[in-house]
Amino acid sequence: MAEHYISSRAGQVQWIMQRVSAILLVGFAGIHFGLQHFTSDAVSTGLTVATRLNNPYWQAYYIVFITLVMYHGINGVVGIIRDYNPRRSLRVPAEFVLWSLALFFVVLGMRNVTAPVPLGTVKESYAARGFPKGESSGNPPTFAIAYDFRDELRELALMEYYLEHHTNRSEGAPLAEVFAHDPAVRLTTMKPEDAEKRVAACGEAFDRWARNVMTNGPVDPQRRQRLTTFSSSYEFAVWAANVRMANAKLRADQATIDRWSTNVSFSLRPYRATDLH
Amino acid sequence: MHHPDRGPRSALTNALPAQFLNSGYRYFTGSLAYVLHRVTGLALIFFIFFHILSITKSQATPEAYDLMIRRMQEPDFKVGEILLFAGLLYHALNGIRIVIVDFAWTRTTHHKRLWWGFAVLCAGLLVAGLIPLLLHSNVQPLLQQDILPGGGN
Repeated sequence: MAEHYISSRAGQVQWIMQRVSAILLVGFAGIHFGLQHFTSDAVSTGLTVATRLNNPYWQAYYIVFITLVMYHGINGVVGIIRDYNPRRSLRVPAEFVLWSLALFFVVLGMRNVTAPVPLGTVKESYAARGFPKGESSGNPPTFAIAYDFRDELRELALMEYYLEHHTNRSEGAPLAEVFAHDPAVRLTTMKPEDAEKRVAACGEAFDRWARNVMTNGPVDPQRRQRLTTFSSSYEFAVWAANVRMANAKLRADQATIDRWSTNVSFSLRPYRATDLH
Repeated sequence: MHHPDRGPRSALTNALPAQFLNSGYRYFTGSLAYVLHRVTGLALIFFIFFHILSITKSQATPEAYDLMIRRMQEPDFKVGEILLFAGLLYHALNGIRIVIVDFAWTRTTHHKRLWWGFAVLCAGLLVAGLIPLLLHSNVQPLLQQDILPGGGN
């Protein structure tokens, strides 16, 4: 029994195109699902998504992906309808509605991909209000709902992630020096107050590093890269300082607030949507 | 010696409840492959409608995006994520199998064996994928810090 799931009456072109789009979709959907659910992207903020949607290569990827998905999906549903051999007066309007639906969702998807929220707007938003609760699609193993990046340890882990993966670092210390915590040391083996002290020390070290980077000043605009989230350690440090301030205010962390508001000889520039990145 | 699946005595039909067998339709291994492929396919296209609409909604502002992500962290969406993964995996693997069967350059005398092979592969990949989905072991630096006493969750 040859398993032609789409009725042979659906036509040779639809039949072969269903297979061709299927093969392509295995790759497209595999990359999309894997990236969103199995990589460290699963534990990131909207900044990661905004970076991707503002990248022309990813825009091209998603335009092809959405078109293929809607073609393959609606062609499959049309095949199912034809398998039941409805009379023409039912089949033709049903197929018209289905293909209209496909067109609608392709246009909607294209609009999302080609006109994303500008990266500067997203950066400005986090710099102004800090990270909110539940700021990640990644769940801790306990299935806890709240995943609060305002918590200093999570905030620092996220900063480490952004510095490592989303910053074109032209200067500055290696990650291990920026983030003074040693991953080999299990925080659970410490007394809670020792662990808290350790996290606070990490935050202090990070702020020291950010301040040093900021004294270097912005990099030459010629050396900026538009396809990374942050074109230099300087851009990242300014943004991170703003986010740290906002988060510190939300969790009433007076030490961090004081460090940034009193001990700094220059004022923090607010991050603006129109800034180069 | 491989015995072809002839219906009532097959592994599938033995597992089916009586009302299925008395419905007048004879279920074979191929029927299971066919029904599962259709069910997952229809579920996936409905999911994609929902997915594009929710992305559109979340595109309005960064705040709207954060709200959507927050909603998607709740346990019902975690169950949905696992179902999505299972459906996508089956539909993709069975689709590859269909293409192999359709374009096979030799006589395919082992269709059912091929399906069971893909079913085992699908189950294996499902279990392998469930581990990071449930534990997020792929984000070790974050995981190690999740266990801070008093902090975090």
